Amino acid sequence: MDMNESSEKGMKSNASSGPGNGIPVEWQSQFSGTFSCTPAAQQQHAMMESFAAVSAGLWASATSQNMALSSDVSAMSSAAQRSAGFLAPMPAFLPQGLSHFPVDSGFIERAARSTCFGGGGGMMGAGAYGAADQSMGDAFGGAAERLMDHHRNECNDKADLEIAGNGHDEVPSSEAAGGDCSSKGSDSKKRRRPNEVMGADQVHCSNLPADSANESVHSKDKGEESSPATTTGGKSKGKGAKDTSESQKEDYIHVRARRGQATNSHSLAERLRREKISERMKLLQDLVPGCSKVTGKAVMLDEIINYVQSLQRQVEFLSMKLATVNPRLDLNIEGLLSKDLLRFPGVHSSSIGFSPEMMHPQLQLSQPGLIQGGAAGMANPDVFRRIIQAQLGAKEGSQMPHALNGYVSQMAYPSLGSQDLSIRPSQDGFQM
Amino acid sequence: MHAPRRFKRDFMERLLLSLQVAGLTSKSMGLRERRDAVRVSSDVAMASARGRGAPWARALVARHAAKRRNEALLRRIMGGGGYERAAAAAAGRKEVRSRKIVTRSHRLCSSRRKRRSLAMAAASGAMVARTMVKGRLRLLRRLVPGADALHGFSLLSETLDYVVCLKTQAAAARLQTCMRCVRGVNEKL
Repeated sequence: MDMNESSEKGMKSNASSGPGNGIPVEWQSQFSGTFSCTPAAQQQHAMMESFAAVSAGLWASATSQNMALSSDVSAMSSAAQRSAGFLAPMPAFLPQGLSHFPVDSGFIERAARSTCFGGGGGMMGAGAYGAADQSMGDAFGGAAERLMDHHRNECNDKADLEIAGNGHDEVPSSEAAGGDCSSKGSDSKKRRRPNEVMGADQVHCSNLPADSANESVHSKDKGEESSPATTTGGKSKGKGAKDTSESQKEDYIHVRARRGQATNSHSLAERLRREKISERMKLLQDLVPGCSKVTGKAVMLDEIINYVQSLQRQVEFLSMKLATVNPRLDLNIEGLLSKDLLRFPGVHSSSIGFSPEMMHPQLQLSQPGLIQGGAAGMANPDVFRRIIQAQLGAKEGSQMPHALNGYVSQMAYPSLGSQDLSIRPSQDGFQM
Repeated sequence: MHAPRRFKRDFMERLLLSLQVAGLTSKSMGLRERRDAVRVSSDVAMASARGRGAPWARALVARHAAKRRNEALLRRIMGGGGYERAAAAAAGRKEVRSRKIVTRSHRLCSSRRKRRSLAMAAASGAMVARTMVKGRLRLLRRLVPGADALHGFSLLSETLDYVVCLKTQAAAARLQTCMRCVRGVNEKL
């Protein structure tokens, strides 16, 4: 409850600053024409703020932290523009385990810049090393990445020698360079976190690829259109890239070949694509409730389809309900509700000015049934209970709270569409 | 970018406004019309809150704009400019339809090929799984608006986005109805 209130307060403070920007110009102009201009607009803004704030607070508390995080993540990731720099939102996109790992955009871009696909191993190594110097200290504290098998196989031995020769400082850059070498980059626009990072000292010792224990696919972001050019470019790019790297921002996806897997360019690109898809599936898994145990694309897709269908059905049903709740859709209920909600965190509302409203069909429902429908819809039962009590406190007195308590305690989060938001005037109003 | 909280707030605001606008258009509407108006306004609110960045938003609005009945309401909610854009998008869907025909024919060919190959070799587990996945992707394309021509990764991103927005839409609608119910009960008492 405290979290809810604090979040609501936080939301309100945000909302108060927001609404001027939130409503686009077209809407404002539209509605200034429709309604009486300023006072109504302001009132509506205020009410929408509060309403939205409360609802946002409710939602925030309702959804688990994971889900909020994942939805943020997914939202951000899904909405990330391809051409825009990903690095800014990347820290937020980090999985929890890697939060300690500072993303050094400068390093990444430099590493990416020095990348070249195929024969540019030597130059790439040099360029990457140079680039890595500056970022080395901060970005990769003690962590460094392994060299790729692919790098070794396809690029010349020169690269290896250079890598071995340049020594400790260059290790992360070498890895990045190796990663660059293999990554096609142009097709992969998605941001990815490096999954595993190895110790720096290990890298020197094992220029050789494979500890089988250390298999990891490491990928960074890559998105720039210029990067493909550099990837396919020659060795000259390596040195030039180092100079220009500081100025530009580039994301590169470094894919490390796993031990014993084909290091073909095609297979690597395909693997990258597959991993992107699997990451999306993971995000979807977090989003769809009850899919944590499910593995496999087909079943996952099935669950997703069911969930989408159930959501659509819910929306349709709710819109029908909304249409029946008030015969006229233009009732200024929100204003009144906002007053309640504004007072909800603290004081119970004693008197609320009701605009003279019409009777509506819902009133015939038994009260437990009504509350059932309402409570079933609300994600956070406690908040809802408080609201209800605030509103009904004056009238009902003792009976309502009991009913509400018994009711809300049995309420579960509405699962995927099996339970409905239908207001069933059940005989005992305590079952769903 | 797509900040969920701001999206929710935007959506709530737009929903309320659009509902009021919808209510203003006609005082005496049948239940079905009212429900359609509510649905249209809620969809438009969600799509406009999402912004132009998402193809499903455009497709959703275009789907509503394609019906003549909603024209007046849509004009009111989105303004003339917005409606023109939606109408243009709706007209542009003919190309999508032709693409659908092409993909459907392609699918038929591939299914014929697969049947032939199945006849030759026993259906391996991988192939069965692939068919299942393909069938479900097809369903998904039908469910998510505007995702007809998407494949693979982009389809999943679209779905992700759409699911998030659907969730907020459902939650917002739920809040709305609950509040109004409670309000009605209160007044009655």
